[in-house]
Amino acid sequence: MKKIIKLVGKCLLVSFPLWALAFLLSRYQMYYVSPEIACLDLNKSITSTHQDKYYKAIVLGDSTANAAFMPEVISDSMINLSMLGTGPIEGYYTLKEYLENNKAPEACYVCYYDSHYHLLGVYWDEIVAGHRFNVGTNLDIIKNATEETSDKGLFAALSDFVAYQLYFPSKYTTTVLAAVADRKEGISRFDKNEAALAQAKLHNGRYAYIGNQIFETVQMREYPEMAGKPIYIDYMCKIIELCQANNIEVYLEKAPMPDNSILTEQYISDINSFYSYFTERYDNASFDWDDKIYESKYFAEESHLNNDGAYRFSTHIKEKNKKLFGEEGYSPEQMASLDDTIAMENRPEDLFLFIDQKDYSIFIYDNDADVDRLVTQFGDSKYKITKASDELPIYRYSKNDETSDYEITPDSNSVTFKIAGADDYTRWTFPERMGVSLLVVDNVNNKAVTIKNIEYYCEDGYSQWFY
Amino acid sequence: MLFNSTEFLLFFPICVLIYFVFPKKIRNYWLLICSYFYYMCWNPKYIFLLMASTVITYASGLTMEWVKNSDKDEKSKTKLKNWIVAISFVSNIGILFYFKYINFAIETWTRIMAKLGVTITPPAVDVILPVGISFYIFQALSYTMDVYRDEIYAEKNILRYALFVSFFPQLVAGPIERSKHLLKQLAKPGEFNYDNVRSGLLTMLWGYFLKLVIADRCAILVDTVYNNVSAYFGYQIIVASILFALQIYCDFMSYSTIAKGAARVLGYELMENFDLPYFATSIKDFWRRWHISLSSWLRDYLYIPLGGNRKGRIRKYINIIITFFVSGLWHGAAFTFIIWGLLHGIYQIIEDLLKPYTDKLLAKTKLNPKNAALMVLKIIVTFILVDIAWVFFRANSLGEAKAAFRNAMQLGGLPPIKEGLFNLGLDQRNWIMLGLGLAILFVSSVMRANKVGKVAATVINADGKVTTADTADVTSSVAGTGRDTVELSKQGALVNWISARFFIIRYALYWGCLIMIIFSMDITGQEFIYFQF
Repeated sequence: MKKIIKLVGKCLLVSFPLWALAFLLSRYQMYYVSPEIACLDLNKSITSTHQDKYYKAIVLGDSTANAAFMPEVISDSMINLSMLGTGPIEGYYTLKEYLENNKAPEACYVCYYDSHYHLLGVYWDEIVAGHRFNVGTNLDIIKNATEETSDKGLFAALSDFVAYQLYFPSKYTTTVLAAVADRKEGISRFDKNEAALAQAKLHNGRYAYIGNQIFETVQMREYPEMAGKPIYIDYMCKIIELCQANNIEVYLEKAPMPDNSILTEQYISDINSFYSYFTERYDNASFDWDDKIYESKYFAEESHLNNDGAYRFSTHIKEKNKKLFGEEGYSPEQMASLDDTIAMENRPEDLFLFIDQKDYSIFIYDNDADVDRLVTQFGDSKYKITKASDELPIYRYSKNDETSDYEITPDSNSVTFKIAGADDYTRWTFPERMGVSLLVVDNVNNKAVTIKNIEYYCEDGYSQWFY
Repeated sequence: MLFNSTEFLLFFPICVLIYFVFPKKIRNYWLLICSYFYYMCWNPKYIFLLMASTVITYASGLTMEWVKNSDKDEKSKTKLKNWIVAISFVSNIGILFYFKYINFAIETWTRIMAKLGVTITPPAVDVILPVGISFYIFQALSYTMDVYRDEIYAEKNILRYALFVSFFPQLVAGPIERSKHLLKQLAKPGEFNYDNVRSGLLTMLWGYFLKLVIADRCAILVDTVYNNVSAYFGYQIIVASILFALQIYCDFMSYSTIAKGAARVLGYELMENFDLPYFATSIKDFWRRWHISLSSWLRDYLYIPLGGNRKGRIRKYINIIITFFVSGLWHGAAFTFIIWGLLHGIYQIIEDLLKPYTDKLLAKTKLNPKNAALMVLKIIVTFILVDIAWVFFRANSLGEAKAAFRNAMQLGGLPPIKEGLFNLGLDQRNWIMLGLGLAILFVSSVMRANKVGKVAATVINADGKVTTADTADVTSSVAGTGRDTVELSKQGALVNWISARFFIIRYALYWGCLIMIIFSMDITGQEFIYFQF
């Protein structure tokens, strides 16, 4: 017995670097994981704890759903619980976890890309590595979907799971080394992850493809057919049945596809058959594939909408379900989220679209341009343009007179712009090029959101891009 | 289930723990279950091939024993035994042929016919090469021969015999054990021995170091070059070829080392499979040090039965060519492997032909044969010859092997070496790790060559009991005389040397090794090369 204890002790001592590294890996995940895994933490914290705020609509899905559904546009009472690279299997357990800790919503939007109905995606690399689900849920997944989790069988899957649970270095070395390489380039994973997490919180769960990248291609892509594996169909049924048991309406959605997509008749028929399998079996499930194709400019890449595409899609979702979302105004949280989106905008047309019908004001500095032309080209004639400063050519564009009080104090070639009640001020430096400079103000949160400059080309009007 | 997979890291401790918890009577049955489970993790249905080989050779052993003890006359007994051996060989080689060589045979036959102007449509045979088949079939056949030669009794306990054939540490990539060595040990279940477990685990650690730090890193560069050989030239091909020599050595030795360590933990000793092959001073010497279990198998069961060197020089050379032809073919169903094997056969023949002249030259120059500079020269020349042969072994086809040699001659117009080396798949970090790993390997090899470190001998008595004894003189050959078998093995010169160091130095070395292994884990999924054989 003494020798056995001595042996065990020596084994632990010799393997000390292994356990030390495993401990560090478990404690300091934010320093080496990818932003996708960091955001899983937020997702987990929402579903596995009781939220004070009631959400009447939730979104389950993958990255296409995460990119497409903008809670800040649709409703203050919506949360986007979709996770990148996941499918109905993970979706079911996410929903189950949420319902165990929170009041059931009225609606559940379910949206997955076709491929997630026949492969598991990032289950090991992100879901298990990110410790998204508890041990019981993971064992359930491994047991029920063994063939999907491992091509080497149940024992191999269980071994891998144990390794991930114990933070065995072999599972994390690649990620750690990539983080070290990033550090050498001056990129801090911790900062990146904190920023991603902050953005996900701000956008109520949306964190995928936030931005204005545009998908450009000359290649057409044909979609000949679509089919789902039985295991994924089973889990879709489980999602709908769980919703049925909790009086939740299920809206099955398919995110729009770019205009380089060729949807064959077979494909369209397969999609309709696939989803009607659920709508015919369950009264609480509906499928409406009316928004099939968007122009490529609405996509960040082939299957993910960018901010403009998501705005368009989300507006459509909101209008389709007036019964649920009604004519809600925009809460301060929604406005804060929209502020972040607006600040990213790179096209005047889209900026004006974003502020439409929302409580924003735009202060316009006219540098030898034509403000009326600006409104004609991008804005809405229903909005009012009033002079905002006696000394400088600054105008205010807003939908009503009730805007925040403000102070504009000239200062050489700039002004300090202060909103009444705010502690800080914004230094607004004017551009030299002929054109306008826009300062966007959020009247709900009383804050300056962003400054954007547009060049003016006289007869040719304004540039289509900010500079 | 690879040794370097998480499944094995979970499987092995569970297997060992339960093994030592179980009463001695049933320990080996548990080991048999574990061995079969281990094999079935790869592909469950191919367990039937393992079982078939086991049953055939088990039955052949028992039948030969029955014949030996029967009242028949000697001539009839010999005739019957010959028939039994033939049946055992034909059925086992038949299984091996079907699963490993059928498509190669069909393709070769089709090509020959095409050259003769006859077009034939070959049948489509969809077979997967079962992992380890070449190893366990040869191991099972060695048992048949040993019983035939009365070198061992026929094993009556089928489960014990099944364990001998399927013993998981060495099942899928050797060493190819002999019944006189392993089967005797299995007669008594392993006992928990602190020193064995400690030594076994450290041996496994060394094996993982060789595999993850050195072999898998070399594989990155070697695969980059050899999978697109026409795009590389000069030093790029030469570096890739040298690294392949190191890759295959470390990869194969790591498997054998981990197997040896795992077996030792369980209380069993496996034979040495490598004895510093790249320190060989001749091709003949190389084959005494490389894949010892296979080369000794071929010597004992092919070369010697063919007549060996007892039937004149021409016959000796023919026997050498046949043996190395079979060796090449054993490694794979492709002409590249056959050429590799034949090349080694030709090397040995040339060496033999030149020996009188080299001896005369040495005598004339009055040089001491053990002169250090001369030994180093011999080692380098031998390595070059071996590495030339490795080019055929690694190349994906004869055409690619030819392209490799041709491109290696092109020395001009290449990027500077320092810059060019980082374009072959390995970045600076990996080159540093590889360099460190190779330096450690070199130091440990030199230590072993100089017999540094306490060396233990493992003695297996006639009743299969294993004991250890210190000895000053060490060899690595298997005696196998039919009396008590003495297997003298070096229990790792490096392991012994480290064990004798002060506590802090010991643990610093262990931790350094483990840290290097951990930071090699990003190179994932590399199978052991010999799995494909």
